[in-house]
Amino acid sequence: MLNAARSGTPPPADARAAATGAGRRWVAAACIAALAALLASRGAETAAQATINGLVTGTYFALGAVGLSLVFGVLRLVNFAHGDMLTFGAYVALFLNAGSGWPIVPATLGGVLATAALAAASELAIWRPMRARRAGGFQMLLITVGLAFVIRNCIQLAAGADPLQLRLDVTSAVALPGGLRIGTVELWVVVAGLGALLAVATLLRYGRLGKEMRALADNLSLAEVAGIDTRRVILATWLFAGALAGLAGVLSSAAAGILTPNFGFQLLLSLFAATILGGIGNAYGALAGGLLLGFAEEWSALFVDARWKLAVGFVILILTLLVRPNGLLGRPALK
Amino acid sequence: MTIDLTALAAPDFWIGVGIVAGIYSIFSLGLQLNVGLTGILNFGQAGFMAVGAYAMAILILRFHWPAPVALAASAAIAMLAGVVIGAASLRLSGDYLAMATIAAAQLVSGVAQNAAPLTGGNQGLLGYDAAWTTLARWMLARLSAVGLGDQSQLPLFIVTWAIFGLALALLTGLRGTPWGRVLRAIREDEAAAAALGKNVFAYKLQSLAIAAGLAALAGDLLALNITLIYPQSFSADVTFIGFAVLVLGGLGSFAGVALGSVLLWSVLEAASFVRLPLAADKVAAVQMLIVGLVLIAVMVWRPEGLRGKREEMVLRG
Amino acid sequence: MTRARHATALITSIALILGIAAGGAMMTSGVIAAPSFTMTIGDLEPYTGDLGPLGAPADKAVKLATAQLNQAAKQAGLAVTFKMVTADTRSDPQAALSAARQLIDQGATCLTGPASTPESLAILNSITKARRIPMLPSASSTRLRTVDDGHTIFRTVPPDNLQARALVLAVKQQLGGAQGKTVAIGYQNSPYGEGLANTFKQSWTAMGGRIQGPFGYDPNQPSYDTEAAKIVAGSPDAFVFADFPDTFGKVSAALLRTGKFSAAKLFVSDALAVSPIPATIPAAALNGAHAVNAGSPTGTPQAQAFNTLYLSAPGPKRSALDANNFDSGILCGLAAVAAGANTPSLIATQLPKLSGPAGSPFTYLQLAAAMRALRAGTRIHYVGVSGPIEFNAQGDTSAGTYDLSTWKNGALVLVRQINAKE
Repeated sequence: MLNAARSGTPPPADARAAATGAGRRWVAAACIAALAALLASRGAETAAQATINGLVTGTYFALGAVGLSLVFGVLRLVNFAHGDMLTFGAYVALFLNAGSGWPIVPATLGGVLATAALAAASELAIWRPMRARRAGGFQMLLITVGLAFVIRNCIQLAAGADPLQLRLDVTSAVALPGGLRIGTVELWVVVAGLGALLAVATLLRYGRLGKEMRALADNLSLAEVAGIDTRRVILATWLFAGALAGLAGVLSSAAAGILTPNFGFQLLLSLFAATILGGIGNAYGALAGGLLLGFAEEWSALFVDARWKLAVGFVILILTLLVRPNGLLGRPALK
Repeated sequence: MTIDLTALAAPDFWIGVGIVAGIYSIFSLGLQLNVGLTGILNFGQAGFMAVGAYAMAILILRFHWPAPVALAASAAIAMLAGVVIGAASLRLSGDYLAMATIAAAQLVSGVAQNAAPLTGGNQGLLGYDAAWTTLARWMLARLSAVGLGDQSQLPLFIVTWAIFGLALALLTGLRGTPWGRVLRAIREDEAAAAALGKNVFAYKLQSLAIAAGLAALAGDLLALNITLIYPQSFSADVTFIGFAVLVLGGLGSFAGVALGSVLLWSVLEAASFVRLPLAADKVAAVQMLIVGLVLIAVMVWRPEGLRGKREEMVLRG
Repeated sequence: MTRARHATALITSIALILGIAAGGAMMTSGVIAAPSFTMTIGDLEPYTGDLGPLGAPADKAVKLATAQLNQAAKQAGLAVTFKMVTADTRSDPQAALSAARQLIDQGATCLTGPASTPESLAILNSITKARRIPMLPSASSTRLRTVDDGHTIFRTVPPDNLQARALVLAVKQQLGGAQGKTVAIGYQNSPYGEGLANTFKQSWTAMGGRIQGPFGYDPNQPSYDTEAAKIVAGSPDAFVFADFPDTFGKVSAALLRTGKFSAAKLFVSDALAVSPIPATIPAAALNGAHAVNAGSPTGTPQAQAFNTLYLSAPGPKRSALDANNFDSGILCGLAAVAAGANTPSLIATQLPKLSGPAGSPFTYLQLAAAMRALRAGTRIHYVGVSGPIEFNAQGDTSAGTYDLSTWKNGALVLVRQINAKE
């Protein structure tokens, strides 16, 4: 988003930046209006508690959306298997924690590394050969759908359909000032999740890899000509996406308390919504998109029946695509 | 590992499989028109199916319309939904369109689940099939003259495949017309088609509307087959299986859709007869694993499908 | 040669005539010839899909029932054997139809399951009603009783209107009346949860009570904190939940996190009446809470024996409706023994006669004796693990006796019984 303006690209990019600025103002105004309405109609405590809950849900969405967004941005690939990569990471951590008795931190790291390895393996075994064959976008899209089915059902084959849980106490909560509360595990997830997200976003923002990824996203063949080792950058993108998917899977299933083989796929459409909302290929955008979606869903539950909560996410996805197809915060006009 | 042959050889089991395969053939014909002919990534076909089935059931149950009128109206309403969703989303490029349509389909299912006064909510709708039962009984009486009177699912099988045949003839006919050629031109080069003065958007809209109408008919038949409709019958998995059918039969081939559907459903249903030394939830996982592997294998090794033409794969991402 | 052949023919004919006459005499005198057949029970379970977690425990229960039937038939000296085949309904009516056809083609003459009302209705209307094949679903919606089933549906699971009534009576007694008392209702947004929540709401408000909610939630949400906050808001007098363990595990953790939730005020429906508390539900959410469950699931000898039997067999742990599924399997087998044939319509005719106080009571612990009694033409009353089975005209259990139990140190303990008879 910002890089277009900062790197001094020609006028169209300025126009884009201006449009992005308008989008941001629009989002900020909508958020403030929603909060004001909340405060006025439901009282400060209820509104604040719903906002905290939105922060928790939003962290799950943001964590899950980043990897999806990176792959979409760099490779132009909508990865329908992304949700199941979350599930994979969560199950690996679960087996290390509850099965082999590892403490939760090393188990989480195990889940993260295993998912990164899975993503890298999919690049080496499927995506790289398919790109070499100049496979079409539709072909690639359907392979991700197939991969989603394969990962999910392999997990069910190995672990069964019964719900499982990590060895964590998900019932305790931390009392905040003003009678507000947040679950202890949820607090850890928000701190660790947002910390990891900010670290990754900053790394990609200022590091060489991030610049190379953006170059690939803008124009793959041009990046190749410019001497960027595209194979390495793409592999790194998958490693990042996989690791973040694994982390997202472990953290959100840990806080929810229960894990089933359908867990990640059920989250996938919300992750799409967060990605679109934040604008693709952009870690900050995914962070903002995820949080916004989380706030919107939890705030909505105070006004309409909570049964519509998931539908709110879909409405936001569709509206975003209609109003600003490149996301409210995204860098526009990727073609 | 053993295979139980007694049931595998039973005709009524295969008639049942044939009905499902027929329903998915009609469903995927629409996908073929969108994806294979026009180049629109419609991932919301299950939503149109839901719109059709619910429209038929609601018109019969709440408004007491005669069944044939309700059937036709359900297709019209789904086409209208196709126009509305298309008008909103067809200007998006491929991947975004896929996400917008799948979200729209989820929204339809959310409304079906939560707008209980209209849709029956979680409990769904039931009892809209009285006219069909009468017709089926009449058909069975005719069938018993040739000794097929006790195959109670045969009438639905016949009607399903007759509708597929009609739709196939219609679409095959349309493909050769100037209209069909414009669709192909749009898929191959949208900008060029627009430069020739064609209203690309309107053509895409028509393509999506026809697909929605076909999904509605498939939904109506599904409703008659399972005799009740409720939200979970129209999950996103229905669309994904439709895509598996599509790629098996070959992109761009209307008749291939039937082949793909019969093949996929035969494999899926017959697979449940294979007695693996596994817990049942794991056996079922094997079945959906097959769907995934079919998608990957076909797309990797034979992207044109079993009998499609390779040039049909030239599809803009 | 010819003479010898004539003689043989004559002797054979006489023997045949005598045999037939003797047979006829036996029939008319009421002593039934010992039947010899293999009966196939078709077990329709959702091994995958939304109801996936229910499948394996139910399947195990029906398997155990089949083993019990075979053992009893041998003890009773009957030449009847039982076989079980199973198929996955994938929690989906379309797949359930195919699964049912598959089992029937494999010779199944009595169906246990499926677990949901949509699946049951699809199978009923497309297959079993026309062919008069009995089905014992473990779905409990009131809706199943109002459909025209041609007397083929029988349920060991009591319908939800009775359960809602039992819940109302339990809450009412604890609060010392319903008038002016507020109950917060939470339910899983599914046919089961929604049906129970609405029935409870009607009965409670009819008694002058107040309702907070009902709050429906999707089983697939990533978090439930906002729902939990709405449910505990204003500290209602009681909480009622209609849910399944896998969703309630997540919801109850969120309830506990609010700090305003008290398990002592909680009443849950039968699908949550599991003992011991599974690891996926925080124990603090259920210890001290109350559950209603049909019959007397923990107090009776057969229930205790079933618990031992179930836990000593390999496979899944105890689950909400396993006892009902076990009873369904036993009833299928007993009805076939009573019918003396492996014919679906005869089994369907016999099924309702196995229930009701007119017969002499037998539990599954006296299965061989029950079979002998049936062969002797005696009416029996099968007293199930899940409670006494009394089929009414709609094929539903009308017994209406519910156990109100409470969790103490992770295990359900019976408090008292509630009569929710209409």
